[in-house]
Amino acid sequence: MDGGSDISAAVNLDRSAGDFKFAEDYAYDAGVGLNEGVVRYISGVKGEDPWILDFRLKALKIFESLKNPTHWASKKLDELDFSKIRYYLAKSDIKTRSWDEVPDDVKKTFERLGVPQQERAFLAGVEAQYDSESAYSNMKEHLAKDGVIFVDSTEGLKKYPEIFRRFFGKVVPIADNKYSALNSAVFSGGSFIYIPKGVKVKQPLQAYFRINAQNFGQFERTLIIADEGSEVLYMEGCTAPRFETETLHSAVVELVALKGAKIQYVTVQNWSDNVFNLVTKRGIAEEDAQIRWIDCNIGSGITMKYPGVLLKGRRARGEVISIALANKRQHQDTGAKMIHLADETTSNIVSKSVSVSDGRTSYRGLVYMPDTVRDCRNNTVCDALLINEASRNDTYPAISCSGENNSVQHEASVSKLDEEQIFYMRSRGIDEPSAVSLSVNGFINDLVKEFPLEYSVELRRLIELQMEGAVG
Amino acid sequence: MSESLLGDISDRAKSAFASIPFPSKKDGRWRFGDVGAWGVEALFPFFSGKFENVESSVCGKAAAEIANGACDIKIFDGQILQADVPGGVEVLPMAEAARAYPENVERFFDVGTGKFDLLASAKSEAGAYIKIPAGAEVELSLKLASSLPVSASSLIFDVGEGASLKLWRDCAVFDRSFSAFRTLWLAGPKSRIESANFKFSGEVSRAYEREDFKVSDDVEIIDALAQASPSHSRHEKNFDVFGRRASVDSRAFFGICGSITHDFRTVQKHSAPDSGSSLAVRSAVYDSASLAFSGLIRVETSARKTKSYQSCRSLLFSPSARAQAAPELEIIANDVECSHGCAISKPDKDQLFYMNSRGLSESEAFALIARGFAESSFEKISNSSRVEKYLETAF
Repeated sequence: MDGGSDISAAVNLDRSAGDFKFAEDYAYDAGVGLNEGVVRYISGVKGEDPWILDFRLKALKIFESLKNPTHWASKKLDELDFSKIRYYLAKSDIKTRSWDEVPDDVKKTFERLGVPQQERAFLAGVEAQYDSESAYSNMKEHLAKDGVIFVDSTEGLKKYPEIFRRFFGKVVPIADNKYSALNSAVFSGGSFIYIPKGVKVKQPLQAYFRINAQNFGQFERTLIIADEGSEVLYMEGCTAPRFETETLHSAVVELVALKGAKIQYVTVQNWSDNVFNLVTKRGIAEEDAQIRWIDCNIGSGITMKYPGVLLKGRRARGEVISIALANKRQHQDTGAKMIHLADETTSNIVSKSVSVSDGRTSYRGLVYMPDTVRDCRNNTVCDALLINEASRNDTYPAISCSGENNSVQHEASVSKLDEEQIFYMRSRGIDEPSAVSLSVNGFINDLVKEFPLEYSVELRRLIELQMEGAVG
Repeated sequence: MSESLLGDISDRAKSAFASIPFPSKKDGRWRFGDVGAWGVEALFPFFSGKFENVESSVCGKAAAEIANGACDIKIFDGQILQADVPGGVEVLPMAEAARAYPENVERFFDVGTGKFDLLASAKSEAGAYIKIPAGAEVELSLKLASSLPVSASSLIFDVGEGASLKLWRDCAVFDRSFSAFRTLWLAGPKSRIESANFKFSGEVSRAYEREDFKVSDDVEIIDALAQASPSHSRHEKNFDVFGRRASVDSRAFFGICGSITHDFRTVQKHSAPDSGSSLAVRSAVYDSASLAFSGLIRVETSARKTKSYQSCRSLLFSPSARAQAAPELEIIANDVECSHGCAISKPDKDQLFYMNSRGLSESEAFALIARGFAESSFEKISNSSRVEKYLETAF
């Protein structure tokens, strides 16, 4: 298998679906660059309580004091010029409650995303974010009746501080890393969700995002609290148009699963390849709770994302299912962190990576079991496929295990496509690009099945676009 | 010329040693390691030669006994005390080696740039150059001992083309000694090296060792390392596989007790096609001791058809024992097969029950399990009777 033009063409991503932009006409614009004035402006526009402004200002100071983590991360981060980024743009301050009320240009955006008309009826509580502000919110009546709260971050902190303030900034503290500090200073949009005790939300809750301005960054903040015995599945998938200058997406996602609760958080990320996708995702699982991160990273120029779970209560369970595909000039630096802080906790990490052309995938993992816990288990499996000669894969796990009857298992493998498999398909009349596509889909099939139906279809389509070249 | 070469090396090393800081937590190559045990305060007694109220330990006495046994080559504190070797084999003090093989000597001292590598370079005249002529088949036993407060010793094994060397090596670090050993293996094309290295150290000691293997075409290396360590120690093994069709099988077993951290760092670097390497690390960790392991497999673009594997398995024999591992892969060639695995757990309770039910105490059962765990590390060493004797001593 060589890196011939046929294979490269077969695996080129079709960006045309997200490769467009609209004329900019924003009602609120904080200008370019980041300083205390910008932070105060954002807080003022949102009419926030003083404690939130204090939180933001503290975060700004910490952001300015922290260095870029290029001593272990990609040196490309140094290319980010924070003084040239716009940190806040809002189309309007008024949320609309149905598709009919959404502005035409925003509707066009969702049309191009390919959300079929008939799917919209099935979407419950879709919170669509457009350039930092919620443009659309729709909650079905039965969700509201069950006491489910699904709002954006501004509304969540304003209307329900007694619920959200308790955990806001606690799962991911401001100073966790430079980009969580940045997000904490300028966050806007995102989803704040509260599921009351015992409520099992049957339909997935969703959100869509767009970045649609030159030098504009996306800083959504998501906080999901599942109260005792509740269950929720949240899905996010996002896309962005291509720009000549860098675009920054630095989100923070905090999950809290109280006793016996279950949260599944599904992401399909397909940003265009000029985006820096730097996300901090972490969950806390209490006694008998479960948190499952299901993550697919196909887009962006560089992604750095390590979903983690703090297993705080007995018999808590954490899981990360991750698919990463890196094409030309892309670097998917992803992984998982599992911190076992209670007895009988279990964790599972499965990661599959595919590197195409000169793409690079990296897995960074941490599994930590101190001697204060016992009877804990972890299993980690990382597999990587290298399609072309210039493809690259790295694996950097870190494992620390101590304590009574704790055990950790980790395995990783890297190889190219099985030549016998490709030969078998070609000898039966399948052309090489299609054979490669089938083989890669087979490699990730087990994980694609973990995605909810709504996403597995889109995901296979996205993977096929990568592998089969141009649409149609 | 040799004196000036070694003199220059020593001077440069002393200057560099002074300017390089002691290890810190930010240093990736010391991740998980106990940097405090390798810092200024902890090492001061060794550098000053002053130990207060330190008695010789059981392990220290055992190390001394082993060091004084019979062998072909004996090197104490970098000085060759004995060299009864077959005809054709050269054992040269480093000063003579600098005259006879200046390029290799210079190459050896250039490679090590870490803080403790430079200790060995600072005493560049301490050590030996062992030359195995092309085509020879040689078996040697070597005892290497460290008794001085700061003892440096360098070894260069120059194995000629088509030669075969089977080496049995005992390394002993006495109480109140900080040893800095460095070894360079120059494996000529088509050569075969079988190396069994057993290390013993006293409770009040520090053992640092770095081994570099330069692997050329068609070389076969069988390497086994065993260490029973009641004191902080660090061992680095670097395999630079630049030859085609080479094969490296390296295994290590560590028995770690007390409250110390044993540090083991490896690199398997492949830059030529059609070669393979396999590293298997096993450890039995007791008390509140800790294993810190990191192993990198790096396959460069030119190293197509490389097969490289790594595994690290640890048995924890007490709730406070800890194993920490960071097995890493950096794969830049696509036509390869590379994998690594890591497993950490306590001994299997069914196995323990089986032995308890047949009259064995818990400590006897633990010893049997640990021995079984260790045995696979020496499977490929041809001198099985000697291996058996070691296992009986250790367990």
